[in-house]
Amino acid sequence: MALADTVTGDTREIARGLRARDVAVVQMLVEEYQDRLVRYLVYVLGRRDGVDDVVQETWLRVMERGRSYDGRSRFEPWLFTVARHIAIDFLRRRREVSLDAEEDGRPLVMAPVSDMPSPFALAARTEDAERLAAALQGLQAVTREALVLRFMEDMSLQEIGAVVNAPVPTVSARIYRGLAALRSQMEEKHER
Amino acid sequence: MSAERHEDFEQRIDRSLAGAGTLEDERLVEEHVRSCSACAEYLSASRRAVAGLKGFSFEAGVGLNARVMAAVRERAEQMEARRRWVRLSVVALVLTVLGTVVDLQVGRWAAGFFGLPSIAVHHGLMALWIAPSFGLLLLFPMLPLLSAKANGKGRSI
Repeated sequence: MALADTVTGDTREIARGLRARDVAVVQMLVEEYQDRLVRYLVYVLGRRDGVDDVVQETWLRVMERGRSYDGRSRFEPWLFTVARHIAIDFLRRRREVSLDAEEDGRPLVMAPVSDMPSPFALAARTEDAERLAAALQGLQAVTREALVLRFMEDMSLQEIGAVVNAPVPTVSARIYRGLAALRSQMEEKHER
Repeated sequence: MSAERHEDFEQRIDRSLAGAGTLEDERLVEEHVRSCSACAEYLSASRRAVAGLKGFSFEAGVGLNARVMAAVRERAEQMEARRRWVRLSVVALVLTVLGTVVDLQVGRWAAGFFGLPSIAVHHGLMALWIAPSFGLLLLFPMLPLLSAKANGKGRSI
């Protein structure tokens, strides 16, 4: 099998490989998607610690339940859906707030686990990114999640809705909210 | 320009960035920002915010891919071992049922054909066929333990 092709476009080949529980296909997927998966989970969890465990568990789940991916749609939304479920389990195990809590009107606050700087502050490479780091850390996890899926993964609202199991208007509202918070940082900078 | 009109264009800008806007939204925004500095600044700040997101870089930690693949290979071996035990158990079940049917339906006829006592044929079938198959079948509940032992260790997470 042309594995390089598998991860660049042919989702049916990926589905076939996962159905056959082909370790070589999983390895190619890990190499292709690992950094994006890490980034998504940092946005969802709002921290760096624990991400590696969730990443590993995600790929194990991909290996075990890869048969449920039918190859008819892009691989990324399916992968992030799997990762999201594991992230929720991870938070539940640590007795932290559910990712969906905000839908009940309860604020979703991921309390920092330590006094360490946020992963966003540590990862900022530009002046604008440094300004945005604080705003990002203050956002609800579902809002950060919508932002990373829309602007970093370039997913459609429908794809994001499928990943986060929410209707499109809810997804849109999260993106607007996130944009407003980030934009205020940019506007403040401009006013100075 | 009225505040409502600015708000309308800000919503169009948000919709366009979120991927919910229409081509008409984009066209109207493009025309409008040429003559409205407030909305132009709103659009510019929004674009800078989105671009700023790309200023964050997150990468897998050193050795993470290797750890993940080691765990994946281990899990694949466990799953393969489990499948082997399931197949073996199904074979054992079929053999047990088949042996019992042979004992009940064909044993007496076979005893007569070979000139052997019926009880001897029964004991022979029990000892050589039914009991070993049934013993194998009893291993089924111990499957997870055997799978883990076959791989030398348990789950990595």
